[in-house]
Amino acid sequence: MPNDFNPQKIWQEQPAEKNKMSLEDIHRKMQQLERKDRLTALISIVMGTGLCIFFAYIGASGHMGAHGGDALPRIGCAVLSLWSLYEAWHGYKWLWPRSSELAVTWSASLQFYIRELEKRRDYQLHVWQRAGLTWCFVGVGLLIFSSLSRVIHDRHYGWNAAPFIILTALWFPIFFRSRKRKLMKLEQEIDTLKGLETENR
Amino acid sequence: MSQDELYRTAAEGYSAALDRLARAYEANPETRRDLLQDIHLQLWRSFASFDGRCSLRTWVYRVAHNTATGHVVKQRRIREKLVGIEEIESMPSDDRNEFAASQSLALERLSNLIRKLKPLDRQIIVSYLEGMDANATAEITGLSAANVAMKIHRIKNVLTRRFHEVNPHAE
Repeated sequence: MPNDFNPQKIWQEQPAEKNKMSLEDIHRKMQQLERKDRLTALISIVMGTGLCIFFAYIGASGHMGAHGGDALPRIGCAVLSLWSLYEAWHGYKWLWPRSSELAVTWSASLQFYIRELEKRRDYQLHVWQRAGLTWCFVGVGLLIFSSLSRVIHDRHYGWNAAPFIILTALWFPIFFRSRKRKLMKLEQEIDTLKGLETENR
Repeated sequence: MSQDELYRTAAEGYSAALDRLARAYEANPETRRDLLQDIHLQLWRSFASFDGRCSLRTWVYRVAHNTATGHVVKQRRIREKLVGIEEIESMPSDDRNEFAASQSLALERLSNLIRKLKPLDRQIIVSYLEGMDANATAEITGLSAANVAMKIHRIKNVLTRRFHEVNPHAE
């Protein structure tokens, strides 16, 4: 048993993992990051454009059961198609190589931590706006609504669609309640840290 | 000094300390390696703006801790389970052989304890373990020296208590 337990000694004498990075490694890593950012942005653009074409085709061809004068599913597909195009643009705007920007600041850690938590909070609060999720859900909602109206007329179709509709109806309140709880905890932590910041000025 | 020269100086002086810092933030060896690379990368990038407003050591530790904090903040499931040093003080030890015979086991337990802490307290305990005084730690964290000193006092209590639970007759 160690009678001379010295945590500083134990900590400082731990074996080093020999993870030195040379300048060449750094430059290579920077280029890798830029390539990765570019690829992620391209995938986002391609997927967004692909989904745009998909929903436009589905809406135009009537595969979602948009018979005759049933406009709702077509409108839903049109909304989803436009939303997908927006996502493609979003991918370009936010993901295109941003490695040149410094992700980490040299500010004191307390301020940095507060800002990181605020960024998380603001992202949670505004993700709907930023990602245009409202329009995505409007489009999906229109498609579901048209299915619901078919449920009323076609019992067989209703049995197939029922589990999906029930799960969606259950998911919404659970999701929003959980999100609200998490936001409150985040807000509490931010307030505590800001109190600390004021104390330490 | 140029960006590259500053990085070289920092890497030579603080490479081992940065290795240890990464261990305080990440248990998984592969992810730790990625984190450490990220720290070195951010450090190099930050030196484009270094203007001597603080010492090189403070700058290096700030960037390193901030990079690692960003890594922790992103992992929401882990972040939500982190506690402050005050909560650790009131927790019973998980294992009565916490700081047992071998150095490597003691290090492992110490690292696990550190990784339970919220980022700010983690920075303070790491700075203490690196031998920094309250003023130096305060400069890195942005807390007051008095606040840091109080936290260090608590940290010492936690470590002493957990050690003495194992070795009640040790002097």
